[in-house]
Amino acid sequence: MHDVAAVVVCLIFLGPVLWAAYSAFRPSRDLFTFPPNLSLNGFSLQNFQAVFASGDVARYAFNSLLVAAISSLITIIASSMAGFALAKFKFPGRNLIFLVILATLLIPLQVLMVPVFLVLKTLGWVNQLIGIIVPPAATPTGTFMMRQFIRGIPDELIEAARLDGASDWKIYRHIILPLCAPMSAALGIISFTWRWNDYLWPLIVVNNQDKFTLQLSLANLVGTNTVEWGTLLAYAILVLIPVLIVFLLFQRLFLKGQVGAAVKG
Amino acid sequence: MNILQPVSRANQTQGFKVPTDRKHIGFRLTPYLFLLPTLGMLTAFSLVPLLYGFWMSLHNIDILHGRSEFIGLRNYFNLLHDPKFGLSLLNTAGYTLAIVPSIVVVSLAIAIFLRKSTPARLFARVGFYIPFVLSPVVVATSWKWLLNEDLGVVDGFLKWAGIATVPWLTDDTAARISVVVTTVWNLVGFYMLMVLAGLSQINEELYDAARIVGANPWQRFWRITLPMLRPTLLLIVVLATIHATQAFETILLLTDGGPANATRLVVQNMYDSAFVRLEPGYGVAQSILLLPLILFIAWLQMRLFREEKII
Amino acid sequence: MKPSLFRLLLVAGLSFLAGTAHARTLNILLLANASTQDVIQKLIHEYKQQNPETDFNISIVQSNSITAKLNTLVTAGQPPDIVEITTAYIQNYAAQALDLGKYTNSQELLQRYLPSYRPFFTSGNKVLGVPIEATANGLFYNKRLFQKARVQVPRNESEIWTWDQFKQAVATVMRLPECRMGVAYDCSVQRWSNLLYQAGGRWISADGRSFVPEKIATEQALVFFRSLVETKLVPTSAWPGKTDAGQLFKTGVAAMMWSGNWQLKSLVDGGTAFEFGTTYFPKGKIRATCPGGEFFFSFENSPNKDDAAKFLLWWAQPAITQHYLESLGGSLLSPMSNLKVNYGKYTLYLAPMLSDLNATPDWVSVDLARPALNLLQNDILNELILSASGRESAKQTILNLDRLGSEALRSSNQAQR
Repeated sequence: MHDVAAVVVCLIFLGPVLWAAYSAFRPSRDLFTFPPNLSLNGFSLQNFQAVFASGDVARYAFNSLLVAAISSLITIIASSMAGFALAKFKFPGRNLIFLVILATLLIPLQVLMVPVFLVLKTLGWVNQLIGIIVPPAATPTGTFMMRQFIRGIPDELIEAARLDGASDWKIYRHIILPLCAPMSAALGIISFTWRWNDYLWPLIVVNNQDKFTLQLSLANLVGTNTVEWGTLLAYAILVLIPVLIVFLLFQRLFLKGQVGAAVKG
Repeated sequence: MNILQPVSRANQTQGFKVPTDRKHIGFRLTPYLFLLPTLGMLTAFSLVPLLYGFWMSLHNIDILHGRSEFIGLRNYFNLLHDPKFGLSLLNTAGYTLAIVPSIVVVSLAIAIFLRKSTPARLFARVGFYIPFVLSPVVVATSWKWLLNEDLGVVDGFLKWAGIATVPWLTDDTAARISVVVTTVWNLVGFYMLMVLAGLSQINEELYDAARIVGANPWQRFWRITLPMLRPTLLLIVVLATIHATQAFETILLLTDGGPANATRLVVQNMYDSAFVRLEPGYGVAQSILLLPLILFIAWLQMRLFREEKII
Repeated sequence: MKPSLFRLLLVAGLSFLAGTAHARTLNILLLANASTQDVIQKLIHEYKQQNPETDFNISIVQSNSITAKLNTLVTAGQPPDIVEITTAYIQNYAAQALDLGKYTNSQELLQRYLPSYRPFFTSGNKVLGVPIEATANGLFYNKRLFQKARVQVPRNESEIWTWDQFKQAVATVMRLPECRMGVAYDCSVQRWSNLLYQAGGRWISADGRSFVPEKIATEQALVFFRSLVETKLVPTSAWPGKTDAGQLFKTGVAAMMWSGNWQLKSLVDGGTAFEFGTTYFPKGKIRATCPGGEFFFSFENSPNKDDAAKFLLWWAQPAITQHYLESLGGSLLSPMSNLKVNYGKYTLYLAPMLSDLNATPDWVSVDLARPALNLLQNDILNELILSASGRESAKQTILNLDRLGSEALRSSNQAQR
């Protein structure tokens, strides 16, 4: 049956992850032994204990959650507004603006760390959580995603609303935004993933240990000459879970034919 | 609607011109107002740094002594003669050409396969998404260990099956394949999401009608799904192209651009210039040189997908 | 208000002001390192107790990202007050580091440290910072495999292997079916440099003008290493696969590991499924091992440089350095001469490395400390990989190294004028 095939293929696909998850539950010394020790004894929680001993994990988790959630919200709103403008309006400079937005995707952050830091310094956002919430929120990818999706919304709906005298803001709020639900869900999941996994931004912005995010703390397990592999894998598995929860919560918005059904004939 | 005709995009146009007969100021300003949040943030955090970066690229910045010297376009001139930059460019081109079709095909296949919302498929969706969420350290480490030619599982299996082992990370071609496979594995969940969102936009009635007329699954795919997914496909192709040109961290951890610069891509070259050789001006110059090139490719792709004229 | 209450408030207010009048916060950037970061913070805490008017804002950064973070802060005019850094990068900041010679007698300060470490943290007459711990490269071996293959490792300095004997020993052990790899060898310029120095060669000439001046020695080192890779004594997953040597050695199926004393803590404390030991490096023309270590330094334009200097000089006291090293458990070496550090359970393992270190001539550190070497490390590594995998002849590699090195030296010599 197709369902069984789906699960089997998925599990094969996840091979490396299963290795990582399995290794997380074994003591560090068994990690890279050869041949791989596949027996069920040797199960150990010491790596997970080490994770919580490595720092104020609860605080880092809170910071990560706050940053990812707020930033994703900003992203969804800003992107859907921009996508709406670019998809359903013709105005001078539209194409140029779209290209400029896309162009900003082509600038690797690694190369522009200094100028970005200077901008944040001017705003007083250095070492503040707002400095890792707002700047990455305006993602050109989000705008692009929304633009493409909103192009798929039939013009008739908007025409009809205009004839009824609705303002653009009303159209956005009551027609576009609800119909965008699938793409907003996708963008929300992706944006949450990105912000949750951000490393470079927090590296530049944050100096105080108490404003660290989970990723910064995880990265610190890669020591100067040696890596705490066991702890790192355990940490990575734990850090994974909230994002998957977000995925599960939001994916029910990918309902089939929901948008198309709004247009009858 | 005549269901025997291929689905036309006629009712999904590019948007309508702002009516000029209405002397309503609000109307003309609206699109700009809607764009303001995004443009505002991008200007502050991407465009302004980019301009400053351009200024940096016109200098020879000496971090060791805290000095910088204006040299005009000399960095750009040197770039055109830099064999390492040229090689990284070639590698990036090859990488992009391999990645983009792979991602399109694989993410389409997975998304369509997992379209139905049965519990098993919902679980599978999460499964395919997980690699995207893993941090690059874990992705690179696990793949590097699996592909280890002395001790890795993959070559172990090949040996057991009597096939010759493959030097996955130490032979130029094999390393390139390994890098492509690892990246596709890592990213496919992201693109799968977008296809899922795009698929949900397709009216279920179209499929019902097609089934009544006796269309088989393949015909339904070609005549309904694919055309209706056109905006999504463009999205994926352009984004995958852009992501391919920006690929850096996972590859760095997997092969460090090795074995002998076979998998060294442009962003690694930029990073090397800026942070190892301590020539940040030269590093930024590379990204600015590439910008119009990649933008041009994106524009070409949009033309190819027959979107309205961009420029 | 009642007069007595007023007086009370006045006294409280004044003492509050007096207390905060001199409180300063030092921003300190530490390297992420499971063995050292907690102990360093413990010592910082002790300093705070002795100097209550100083406070610390500690930030821990992954060492791969330290240059990115540091350069960003420095270029933006906000340098941290104290930075922990390795030998690979300290010379990059020579021009901007705070000269500790301004706060104390630099000669006297330098005398406290081993001559082999001084080149790392000096630049001309300037004392750049304070060493906190030292490392040396060393050779580890899998006791179980060696016993089974009945191969004896050198037990004392008179038994030290020549290069050929070393090669023979590994080849013999590799004949065991359970030995899948020879020498787990980190793929880095520093690790390879041991061979160069053992051959009597060096990267940069004494006058700092030419690159790989000893062509014959360099060729010997390249050819020898190529022979190791060719005969699979060094696995391809290490060179050029860049798999971490520690990982490979811990599998238990590698005969030896060419790494350094920093591996000891995780090997000893984390435990291994097999018994391991350390031994002396083989001797080329001379005996040599690459020293390394970590340092604290401050910046000239740090706002709290006086307090930073005070902290650095506190750490530079032999008693404090000893306290730090012994709190670590003894897995890291002392950079100070005449300091009797109790290395505890690591003493036996460290003995061969310390012996190698003593036998290493001083010019090795001078060579390793050259900034040009660090700027070019990726290019040099690429050439070494080409030579090791047989894609380039040794002579061609030397030509290439000479070319790219001389260019870099020329421009850096110009910049210093």
